[in-house]
Amino acid sequence: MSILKKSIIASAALALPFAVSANSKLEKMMKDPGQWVQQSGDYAGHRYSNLDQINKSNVGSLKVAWTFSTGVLRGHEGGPLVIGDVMYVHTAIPNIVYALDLNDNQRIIWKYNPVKGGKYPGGETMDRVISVMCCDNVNRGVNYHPNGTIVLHAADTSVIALDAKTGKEKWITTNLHAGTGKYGVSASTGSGQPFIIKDTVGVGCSGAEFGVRCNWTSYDINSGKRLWRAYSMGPDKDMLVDPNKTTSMLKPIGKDSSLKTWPGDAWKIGGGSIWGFYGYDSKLNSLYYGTGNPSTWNPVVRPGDNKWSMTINARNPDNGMAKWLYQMTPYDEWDYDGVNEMILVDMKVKGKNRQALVHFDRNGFAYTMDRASGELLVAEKYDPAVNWATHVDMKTGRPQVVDRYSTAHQGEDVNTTNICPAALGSKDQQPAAYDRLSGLFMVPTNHVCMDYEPFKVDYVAGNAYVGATLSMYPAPGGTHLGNFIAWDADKGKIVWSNPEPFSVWSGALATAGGITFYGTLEGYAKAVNSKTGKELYKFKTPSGIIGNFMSYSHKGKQYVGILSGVGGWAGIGLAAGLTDPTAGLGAVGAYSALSNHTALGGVLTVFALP
Amino acid sequence: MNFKLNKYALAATLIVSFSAKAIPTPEAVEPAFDEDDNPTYIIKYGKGDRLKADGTPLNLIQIKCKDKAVDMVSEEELEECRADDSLVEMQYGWMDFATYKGWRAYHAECHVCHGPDAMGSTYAPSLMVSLQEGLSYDDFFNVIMNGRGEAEGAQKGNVMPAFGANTNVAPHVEDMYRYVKARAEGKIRRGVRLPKLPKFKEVE
Repeated sequence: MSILKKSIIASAALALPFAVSANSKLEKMMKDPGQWVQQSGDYAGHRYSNLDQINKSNVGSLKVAWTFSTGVLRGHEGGPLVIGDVMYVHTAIPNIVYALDLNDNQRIIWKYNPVKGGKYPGGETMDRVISVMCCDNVNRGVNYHPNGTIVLHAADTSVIALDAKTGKEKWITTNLHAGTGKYGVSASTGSGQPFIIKDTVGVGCSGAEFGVRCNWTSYDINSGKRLWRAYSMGPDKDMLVDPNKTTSMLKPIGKDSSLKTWPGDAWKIGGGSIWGFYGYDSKLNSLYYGTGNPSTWNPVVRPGDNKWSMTINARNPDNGMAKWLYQMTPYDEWDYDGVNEMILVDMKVKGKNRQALVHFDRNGFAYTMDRASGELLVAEKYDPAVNWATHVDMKTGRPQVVDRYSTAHQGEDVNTTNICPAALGSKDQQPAAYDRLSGLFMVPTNHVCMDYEPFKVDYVAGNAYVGATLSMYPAPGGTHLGNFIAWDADKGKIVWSNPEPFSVWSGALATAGGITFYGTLEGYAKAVNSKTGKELYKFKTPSGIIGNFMSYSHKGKQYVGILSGVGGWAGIGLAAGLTDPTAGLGAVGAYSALSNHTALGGVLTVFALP
Repeated sequence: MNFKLNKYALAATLIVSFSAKAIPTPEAVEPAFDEDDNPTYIIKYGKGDRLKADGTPLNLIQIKCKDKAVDMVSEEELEECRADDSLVEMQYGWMDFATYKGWRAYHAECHVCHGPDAMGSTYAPSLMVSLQEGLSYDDFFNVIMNGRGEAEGAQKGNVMPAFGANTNVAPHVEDMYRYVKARAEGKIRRGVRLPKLPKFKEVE
C-alpha cells in the first residue's frame, strides 16, 4: 500500500487546480491514483499519474505483466479505464466493450457488442457506417458515470449506456444519422469519447469530410433524454450563443456572428466536427472543446471566416450557452481541425497567476489562454517547420497567413506546394500530457508537410465532400516524420525534442516517478525522463501504437497500460511510407515504409515492475 | 510532325544524354509521346534531383534504375544503381490531361483509404498492386460504382463504399484507372508534384 499512501501525500502537496472542487463523486475518484476513471485521467486533461512506484531509477527493468487481444483489427485509439478492480477495454468498429476482472487473471466479466445482425442500434449496417468513417474505424474510448454506468459513443452515433456490473443496456439513443439522404446530417459518425459532466453525457460528431454540420449534444445520464444541442455554425439560436454575453477576444460576438461569415447557406453543410479530447472546470462550470474544419476543403467556394469552425469553445454544460469562443484558423485553407485536447492548468503566465487552458492545435501553434475570460495569452509555433503563417497577432488573435502557402490565394486548380504542417497537423488527436513535477507539457507531434490543390466538388448528402488533393512528405531538411517534445506554455518554447522516424500518434502519460510514457507507430512503448527527454525504456508491442497510455494500481502494484493497433489517419499516410524512398537516389532509405515494421491487430499490453 | 492530344501519336522517344552539369530544361526540347499520350523527356544523368535556374523543380515523373521504376526494383538492384550513375535514368515530363484528372480525383477521394500514390494503407489495398495483379477495368469500374461489402468477399471489417451516386467520383473512373495504370506500369513515380500538361503547340 506504500505507493498509494505516498501518492496521496504527493497529490495533497501539489496545488491541484481542482483541490476544492464540487463534491462530485467522479472528481473524488479522479484523485485516486489507483484508478483511471476517465479517458484523460481527470477533467483537466493532465494525463498525469500520481503513482511513483515505477520511476526513473527502475523503469529500465519494466516487464510485461499481461496482454489482452481485443479480437479486432484496425486502428485502436483511446485507452482502457480502471474502476475499482475492473478494467474496461473498447475496440475499433464494431466497438466491442470488455469488462475484465483484475482480481481473477483478467477474466472477461462481460462483453458487449453494439452490432447485432450486422446492424448498429441506429439501424444502419456496419458496412454503411464503415464506408463513411473518414480515416479508419477508430473509437476514442468509453467513459464512466458513478451511478454505475459505462457510456459508449458508437460509430453510428448511438450513445449507449451500459450497466458497469453486467454490461446490460440501460438506454440507447442515436444522436445523428450515418445513412444517406438528409441534407447536412447524413454520414455523421461517432469516434470521440462520450464526456461525463454531473448527471449528463455529451457527445460531439464526426463528418466534416461529408458536409455534416456538426454539433455538441448533451443527454441525461439516467434517462438518455436529450437536454441541449449546440451547432458549430449557423443562426445564433442553433449555436446557443448570446450575441451580447458570449465573447471572443474579450468582446461580445454580436448578432449573426456565424451567418455573416459564410456565403449564402453554405453553413448548412459547414463541417465543424468535434471528436478530440475535452476539458471541464467544475469551479467555473465550463466545458471546453474544439471544432474542426469547415467543409469543403476547397476554400474558394466559402469566402469568409467560416465561424465558428476551428474554434475553442467554453460553454456552460447545464444549458450549453457559449461563454467565450476563439477561432484559431479563420477561413481554413489546409484542413487544420481545431479539435485537439484542452488541457487546464493553473500556472504563472508572464509573471501572473492564471487559470490557463493550453491547446496544441493542428495548425502548428500552441495556444495558452485564460480559460475564465477567453483572453489569448501565448500563441507560438511548437514545430519550427510551421510556415503557413508567420505569427498570431496578439491584438486580433488572427494568424498572419503567408500568401505563398495560402491555397485560397494561389487559387482553385493550383497546386500550392511545401505547406507546413500537412493536413494531419503538427499534432492530430494524440493527446499531450502535463507533467505536474516539471510544469512542462509532453507533446507527441508530426513533422510532415504537404502540397494541396483545391478544386470544385458537388455536395451529395451522405457522400464524401472533400475537394482538394493532398500529397504529404517529410518536413524539409529532416530525416524523420515526428518529434516527441517538452513544451513550456508560459514562454512558448520547446524545452527538449526527441526525433522519431514516424509521427508520434499515441497519447502521452506523465507520472510522479519523473517519467513520461509514449508510443510509436512502429509499436514501441517508450519511457523517457520528463525533465531531459532521455530514453530510459522501450519495448516493442505487437502492433503500432495510436492509443493513449494510462496507469493504475492493483493490490499495491503500479501498472501502465497501452492499446496497440496501428491505423487511423497515420496508418493511411504512412503505411507505404510518404515518399519514394529513393527519390533522387540521394536520401538512402530515409523514409522507409511503416509496413516494414508493423501490422494490424488490437492488443492491450500492461506493464509492471518484476 | 503533328502533336495532338487524344491520339496515339509518336512512339519514338527522345533520349538525350548529357553530363549532370548540362541538363537542358524540358521546355528547350520537343516532347516525345508514349502509347498513352504521355509527353516525356528522358534524360540520363547522375544522382540527385535537379532544379531549374530559378529554383523550381523540373517535372521529374520517374526515376529508373536499370530500366525499371525505382519502386519496382529490388534492394540489390538499387544498391547497384547507387554505385553506378550510368544505370540511373531520369524521366521528365507531364501527364496528359486525362491522367491528371485521374490523379486529382484519386488524391481527393480514394487516397483517404487507399493511401497516397495508390500505394495502399494499413487497411485498404494498394490499387497499383491490384492492377499489377490483374484487376481489369470492368472490375475496377464495378467495385467503384457498386461498392463491395463482406458479402461480396471483402475482408471482415473492410468495406468499399459505392461511389455510383457520387458526382465527384463516378464521372472520373476512366481517368482514375488511367492514372493507377500509369503507376502500376512504373510511368509515374511516387509523390510526383503536379506534372500538368503545358500549353500545347500545334506543328504543321
